[in-house]
Amino acid sequence: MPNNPNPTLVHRKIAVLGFRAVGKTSLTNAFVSGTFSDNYDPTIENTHHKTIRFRKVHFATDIIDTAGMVSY
Amino acid sequence: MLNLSSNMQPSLTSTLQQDEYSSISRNASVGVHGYALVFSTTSRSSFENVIKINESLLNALGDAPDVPRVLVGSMKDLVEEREVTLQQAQSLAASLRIPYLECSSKTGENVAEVFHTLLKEIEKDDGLLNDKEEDKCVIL
Repeated sequence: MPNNPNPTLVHRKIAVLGFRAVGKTSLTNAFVSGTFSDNYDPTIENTHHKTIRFRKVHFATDIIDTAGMVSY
Repeated sequence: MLNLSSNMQPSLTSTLQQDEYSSISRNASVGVHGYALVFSTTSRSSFENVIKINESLLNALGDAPDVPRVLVGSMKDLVEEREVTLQQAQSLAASLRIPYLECSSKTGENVAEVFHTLLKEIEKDDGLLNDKEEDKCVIL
């Protein structure tokens, strides 16, 4: 990685996985929009976008809120 | 013949169940830099399932045993309903060699830290987030 005195913009893609109803959507929404709801509406799959400024780096981040895994 | 076909039924069912279990969508596995593995601190079964989800993720990715991940215990605020201890969660994370965080989406506690920690895991090897970049970039 080259040294760069200006903020660096990088693209990152992350996914939120877990059993159903553990709060994947709640976690994603709390982070992306600062909102919270007690209602449970199972997710199929949603992708959110947020640019995260962290130290000197700007992360253009895709956050994939996945469908909950089912029991076996 | 009849016996054989009735014998096959259970194994077919079990295969379907395994398939269902490794159902990480293509979009959620191709080109993804890191994963938040979430269980609820109020659900023992979700904790046991996150172990299997991790295994099926590593199976799906095949050649990426060090894929960046964080283990996340959610619903930290629901103290009275807690079913997974901090110690149990920490020892799972230690055995997977990944960070563990507990958060509450309701109060907002530790929510940003989950994503920051995951980004740190993703950038761990390339020095992008290193505070002392000048120490790292030495080319011989």
